[in-house]
Amino acid sequence: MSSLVEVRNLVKDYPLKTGLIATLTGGVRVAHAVSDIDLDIAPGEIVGVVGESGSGKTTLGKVLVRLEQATGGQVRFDGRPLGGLRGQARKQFHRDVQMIFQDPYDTLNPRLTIFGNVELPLRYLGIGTSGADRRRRVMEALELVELNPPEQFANRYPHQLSGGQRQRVAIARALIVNPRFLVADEPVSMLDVSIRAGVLNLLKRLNGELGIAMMLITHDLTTAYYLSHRIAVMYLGKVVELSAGPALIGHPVHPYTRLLLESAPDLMREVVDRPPLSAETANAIAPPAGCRFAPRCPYVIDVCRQVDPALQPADSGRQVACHRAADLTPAAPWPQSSEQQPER
Amino acid sequence: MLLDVDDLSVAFATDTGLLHAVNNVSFELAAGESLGLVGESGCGKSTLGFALLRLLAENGGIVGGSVRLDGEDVVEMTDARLRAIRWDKVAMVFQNAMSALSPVARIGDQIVDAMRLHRQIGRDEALRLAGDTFERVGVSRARLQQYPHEFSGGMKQRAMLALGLVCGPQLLIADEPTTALDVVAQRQVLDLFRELRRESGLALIMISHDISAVSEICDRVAVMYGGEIMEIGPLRDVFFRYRHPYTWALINSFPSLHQPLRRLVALPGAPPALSEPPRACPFVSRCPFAMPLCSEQRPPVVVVGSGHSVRCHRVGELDLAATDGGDHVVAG
Repeated sequence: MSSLVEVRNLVKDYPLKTGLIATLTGGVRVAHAVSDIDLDIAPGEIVGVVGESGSGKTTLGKVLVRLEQATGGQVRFDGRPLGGLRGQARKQFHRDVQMIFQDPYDTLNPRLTIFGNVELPLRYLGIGTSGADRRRRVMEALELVELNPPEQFANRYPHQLSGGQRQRVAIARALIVNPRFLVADEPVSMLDVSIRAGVLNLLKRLNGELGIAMMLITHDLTTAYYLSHRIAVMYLGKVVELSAGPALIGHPVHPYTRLLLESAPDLMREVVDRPPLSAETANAIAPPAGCRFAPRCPYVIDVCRQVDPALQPADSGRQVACHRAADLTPAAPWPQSSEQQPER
Repeated sequence: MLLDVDDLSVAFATDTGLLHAVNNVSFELAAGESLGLVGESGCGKSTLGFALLRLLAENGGIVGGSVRLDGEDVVEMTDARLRAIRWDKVAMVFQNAMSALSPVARIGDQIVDAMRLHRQIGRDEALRLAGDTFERVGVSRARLQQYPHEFSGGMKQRAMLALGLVCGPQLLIADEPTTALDVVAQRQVLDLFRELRRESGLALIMISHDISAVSEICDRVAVMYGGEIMEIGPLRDVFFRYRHPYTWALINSFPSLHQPLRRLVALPGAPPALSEPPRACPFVSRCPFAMPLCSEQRPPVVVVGSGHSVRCHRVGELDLAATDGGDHVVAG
């Protein structure tokens, strides 16, 4: 199947504020938010992008919707490079690609009614033949996100809705232009648990019924697992492992994926005494030479500190960027002792 | 009992009238024990935590019941006595408390100043104690010389924990101690809590919306909804043999990495406004199992097992363990 979204060698650097001297001598420092990422998303596919703050996952999403411009590499949507979009093609791109954000209260206009908010993209993009036509579309979109009956919500203001309802409005606003690809950046992390499930189920339904491809950006492996067909794990601007959800969760290969999995608290698991962690994350301004995870990696060998491993195919469609990927499959235990200790 | 909370109610005066934030809450905590207070925003869990130390905002107050700490009634206590037990006997760690530190003074100086207000000790001794506590939570003593902005999120949370522990309290109340932290930093904080409890027999009340984080360090758990404890008991009983529909929804609204995927339970509607004292079950409008009685009468507290009790009219008839989320999926 050909890809809907094709990311090749994508790089995004942010220049840091530096002094006059540094600027004159050409010593401008940059933060490497995204370094050399390759990723494909098929039509109708949900790819979860998981990582900690500072891993570059949000930057990646923003580049894909053209909120940020790549420093290097290329992104193609439906075969067309994003850089060269002009005129009609660019308008079409913004119909095809939409984004929703973490805090729906921040992204809705508080002075507009729900109707006004959801209608905005139609006005900007010149969609809809008449006011009545636009109204019909708005009501359909509200119904689609299960805000029923839509008439009851249309005339309210964002502050009159709950967090979950506001996120549904944001989703309705994204859907009203019939996108083919949706970037969802932490769509449920601000929501209470009982509300969260409703929004996750909604996204799942929209993907299933309308075939909208999605990129789900989240720090929460569990959310990604629930929704995604494939999961990409990012660490300091790089994808370190990319695989179908069950394989990634069941048999993680990259040591960082293992660390994430082992760290995520989970009700359905006995608490074990875990090996202590080496302190801090390296930063994106001066990433370590070689593998970026090497300073924290319990499996580190000499080559890791010198050569940055490339993302390479491993078993069953999985891709891993690790020099030791071959010895680490199937999941080897952590090198330190991690004895099961029943606590209660 | 280290802590004995009996029939505690808290209310706030607001522009639109009284807000009944906590209603008739009772629980006990033995020395060295840990209790998780879980629930969603607005359920009253933080208010309850604040009320235990009488740290409520000015428009709020305890309107009924008692809080006994080592037999002493906190509600009736003089302000002087209250100041003496806060921090020394019971410490509280707040969410984002680090933002309360001054950004222009070294962390060590700020801690030392606070300690010397509280205890008759010299600068050097205070600094030494602060350094010891920092090391206990895995932060280097040298960091006392640093400013707040030089700390990462996880480091800040550990520093706040150190600050809470510096006077050697018997009970620590931690309000959302791991929220806003990345999963790896969160794990470090949870590991630290476990270690501290094992080492020093510290009793802990952890307030959190995150039931999986609570499951890592607590012996018992109380599930709050609409200002009331709906279910309380040993952690495994509450999380795996839950008897209240809200606990059922809470547990099943969350996917697990260690179980096959099921469809999640989503609840319709929103929590109650709490503008009136409870006359019915607060969960009634969202409960898939509600019957007429639930909106007519407040359910009694029913003991269902050793230390395990539930506030639900239907506790005797529901078999929640056998109820799958699929039958009750409604948009929330």
